[in-house]
Amino acid sequence: MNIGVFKKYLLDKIADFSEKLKIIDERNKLYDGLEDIIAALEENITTISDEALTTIIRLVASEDFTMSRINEIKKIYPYWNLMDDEKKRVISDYIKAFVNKIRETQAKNRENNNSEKEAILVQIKTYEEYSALMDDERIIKPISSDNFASFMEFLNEVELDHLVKQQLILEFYDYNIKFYKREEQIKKNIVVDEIKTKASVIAKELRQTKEVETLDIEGLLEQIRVNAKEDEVEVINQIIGIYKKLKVAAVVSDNELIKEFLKDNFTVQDHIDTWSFESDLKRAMLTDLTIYLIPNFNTHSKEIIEIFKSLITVYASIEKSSEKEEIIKLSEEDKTFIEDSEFYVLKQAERFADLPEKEKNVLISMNDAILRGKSEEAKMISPNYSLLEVTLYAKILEYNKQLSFLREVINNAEEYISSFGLEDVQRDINMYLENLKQITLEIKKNVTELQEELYGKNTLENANNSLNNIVIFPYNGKKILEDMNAISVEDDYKETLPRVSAAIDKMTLTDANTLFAITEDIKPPKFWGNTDRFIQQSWENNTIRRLRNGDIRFGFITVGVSPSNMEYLKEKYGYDKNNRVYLLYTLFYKTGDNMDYNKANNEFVVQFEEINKILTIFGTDFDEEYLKELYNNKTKDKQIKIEYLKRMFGINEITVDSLRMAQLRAIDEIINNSQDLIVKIQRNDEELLTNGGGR
Amino acid sequence: MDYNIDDVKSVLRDNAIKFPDKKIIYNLYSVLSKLYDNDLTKYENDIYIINNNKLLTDQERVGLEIESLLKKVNENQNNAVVREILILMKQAYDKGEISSSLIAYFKKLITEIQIILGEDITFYSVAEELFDEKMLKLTKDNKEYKER
Repeated sequence: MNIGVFKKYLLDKIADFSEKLKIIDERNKLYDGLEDIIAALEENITTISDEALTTIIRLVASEDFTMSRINEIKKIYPYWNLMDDEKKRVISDYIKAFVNKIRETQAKNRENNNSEKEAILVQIKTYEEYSALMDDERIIKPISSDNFASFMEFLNEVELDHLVKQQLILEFYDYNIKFYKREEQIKKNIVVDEIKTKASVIAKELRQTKEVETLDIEGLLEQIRVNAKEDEVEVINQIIGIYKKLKVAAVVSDNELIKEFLKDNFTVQDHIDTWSFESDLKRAMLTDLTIYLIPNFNTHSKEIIEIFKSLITVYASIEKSSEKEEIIKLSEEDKTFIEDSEFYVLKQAERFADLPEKEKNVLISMNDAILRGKSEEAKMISPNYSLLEVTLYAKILEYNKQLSFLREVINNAEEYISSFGLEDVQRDINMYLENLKQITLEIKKNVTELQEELYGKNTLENANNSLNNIVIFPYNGKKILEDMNAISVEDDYKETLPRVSAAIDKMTLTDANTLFAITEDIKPPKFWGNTDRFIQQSWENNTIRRLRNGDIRFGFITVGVSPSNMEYLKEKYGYDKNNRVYLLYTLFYKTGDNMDYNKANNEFVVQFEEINKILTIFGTDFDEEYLKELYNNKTKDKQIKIEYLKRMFGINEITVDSLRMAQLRAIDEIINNSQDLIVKIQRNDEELLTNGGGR
Repeated sequence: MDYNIDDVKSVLRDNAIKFPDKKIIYNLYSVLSKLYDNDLTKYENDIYIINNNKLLTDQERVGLEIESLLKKVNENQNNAVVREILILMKQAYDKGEISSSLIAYFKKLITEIQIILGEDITFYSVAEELFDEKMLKLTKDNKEYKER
């Protein structure tokens, strides 16, 4: 309850301050309005209304400048030409002094106003900061240890009942202590995780043996099943199921000791003991099945069936203990946010990845100086980094820290809840999420500022304001529709279209540099096999990039636009030099990194004819020079190329005009067909997914 | 190591030796047979460098492991004996009673518990000594043990 009272007090205060700000702004407007009057005063005092004059005189009223004196001047001013020089001089000097006095007063008032405004803004910021510590019912965030003392002082000063204040002090104090205790535990657990992971890597490395050649186990199991006696079938079926699961969860790795115990040994207890000796039970069971049991089944079926039975029991017990219920579930929206922001931050972190540890420490020292408000000192530490880079680095570290805290708490929610209670744990999770959102925003802002610093503000603004990249599809979108249908089976059916739509938005609205930062290169295939050399060449010239949204992956290339096509696109589609044309040629459900690359590369080869056609249409200027070069070509390629152009554009004669017209028609067709499909995707037109492709 | 695979085999096949002891021998041999003396401390230090730069002290390492193992046995109620040992260790640790001379002893105890609980070992610096001591106790060299 006290928290609610305090929150309301803070919000009321913020509203009061906002009112005061409005008044100050009004006052400033009033001063601005007086400027015209002052200017008129210098010109001709008679043009100023009595009301306005009164307002001005009130500003500077003193013995020197009185209402009666000014009115007197106003009265005689129309007779200016009849006055002698001395009189003119006296009046003119008086008005000058009057105007100077007013200007002086105006400047002073403005200065006072601005400093008052600044002070209020600082107050609002403080109040908002404190208000963000709680919702209407409870404290939701701790106070950083640096600010704790000043917050307590603030709390002591607020105009609330003495008892309420004391209670509040106790509540915040208590919350802070508990929070930092929890955070201390989280930090410790993260360290333990780090240690365990490294220990496990080393242990695996040391235990690793030569690659084991295995027989066709599934084939053998099938044979065993077919030949099994009636009372054995159930056991064999279960073993087949377990083998399939183990194969996914572990790798066969034999070692000297396993071999020593299990080779030609079919004693049940020895097998159970050996699995338990190994730190990775699943690996040991898989190795045993693959190397020692299944291949020898035909000669020792009776003993091995007994071992199988024990294996089924032991496997059931480990399955049960590893079934961990997800106690705290994040919303889909939060999950997507984490996935997207983590990917984005990871990309931004790449610019610091190669820095040696010493340089990273330099960045941290510079950031400390910035936080202390000593930017100049920070600059002196190293001239190699801009302050924006330093802040970005610090924010990335903070993001990673908060994310590791969040993951740790969610993954071990049961443990934290039993120590600290559900409510606190849930509150912490919300807080970490909020922090991540805030830091991500700051990082994005920072990156934009850095880009402005690097590429200049104007180009970026232009790029952002009018950004309208063009996304096109091969085969008039037919292939992409098929891909979406395939994905909707694996992915959440309802999520497919919104995700594709969001990805297309990203491609349409993001400037080239940022899109480059949030996507990644597709690695080249390991073997090209007998793929055409021309395709390989084209693959190298057109870097394929991969974009992710949720579990969907998008393979695309940037299409080069020839100068005359650029003009055409500019005129017809509002395209400018900062825009790009992207050919989105494949979508697929995530398959794991290397598989993703394989999929994108295979599709590039499969669709190459269409891709090459689009690249030619957008990237070639079919002008006189082009034709001259084409006809002067002495090799046999000449005829092939002429036939290719005729076929591609459906024309009988090759001239500059026929080519150009066909080219523009083709460009329009590709863009319009793609646009139609994009609109349907954006409208979440579910018919797209039921038609099964085809337009 | 003072023992070879044949010695290990005979221990593991000996019905008079209890399962936890066999498991400790099996696991220590599995990792140690691939290591040279000079790698031992290096491996341990590699594990205990946190955040890429801070090397934990022996005291910190031991404290951390006791706590993390205690948590593990609390989750699993079947390890009453191990839990008791860990509680005693924690009491000593909290009172500041583990001097540097006791560190190696604690590390060995922790290594044994890690193996029994199915964890990967972390205190490589004492692993070989532990293995040799354990083998000495479990083999015929030590008649007194066998007669018990």
